[in-house]
Amino acid sequence: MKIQTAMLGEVDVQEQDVVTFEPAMYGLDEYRRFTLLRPDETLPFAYLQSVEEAGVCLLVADPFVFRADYAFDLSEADLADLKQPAAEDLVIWVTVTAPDTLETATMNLLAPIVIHTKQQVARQIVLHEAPYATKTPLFPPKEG
Amino acid sequence: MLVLKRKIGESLIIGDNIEVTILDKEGDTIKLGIRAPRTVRVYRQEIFEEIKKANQGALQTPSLQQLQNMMKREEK
Repeated sequence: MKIQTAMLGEVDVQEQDVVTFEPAMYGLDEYRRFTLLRPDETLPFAYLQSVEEAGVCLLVADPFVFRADYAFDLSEADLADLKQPAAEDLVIWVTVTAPDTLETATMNLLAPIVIHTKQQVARQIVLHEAPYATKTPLFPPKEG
Repeated sequence: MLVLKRKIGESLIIGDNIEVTILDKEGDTIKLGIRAPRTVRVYRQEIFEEIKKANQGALQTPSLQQLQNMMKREEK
């Protein structure tokens, strides 16, 4: 199907590349169906684009590129909501906020987006007990 | 807003199946125990707001060109 996107104009999206958030991401209650657009696969970024509303498009990053030691456990409840994924069928992204310049961009490591690719379900998970922040600098300040 | 007084060890029931128990009090901090079905999401209010704000922030998406330039600069 062809969809209108915020950043890339009209894009042809396959139905198997659409994921459903159940429940919705926080503050985005009206939008459930998204697709990941990676116009440049060499970049650790993607656009999480609503297939229903062109203007709803979130910048997401591969957290492991920026923090190699990023790790968390999924609770039994999360696994059930994600339809019992095998580890290799999980994809993790985090939202990125770039208010002024990209150099000061932050990522939300406290609430990662977890996608079970085989079942096309996704959830934004809140890591209650993890030592992560919603505003973690993408690039830590360089020393010196 | 409904205002109730509770003692340590006492509970509230919200709806049919959410139970909030006052477990302890230390200074101005109260420790709560919450029993709810797992479909009910319970968060600290400020975390909920922070996540909403971060999601809203992510809606201001830079262009592909800007992302490419940024990564080039960082590699230097």
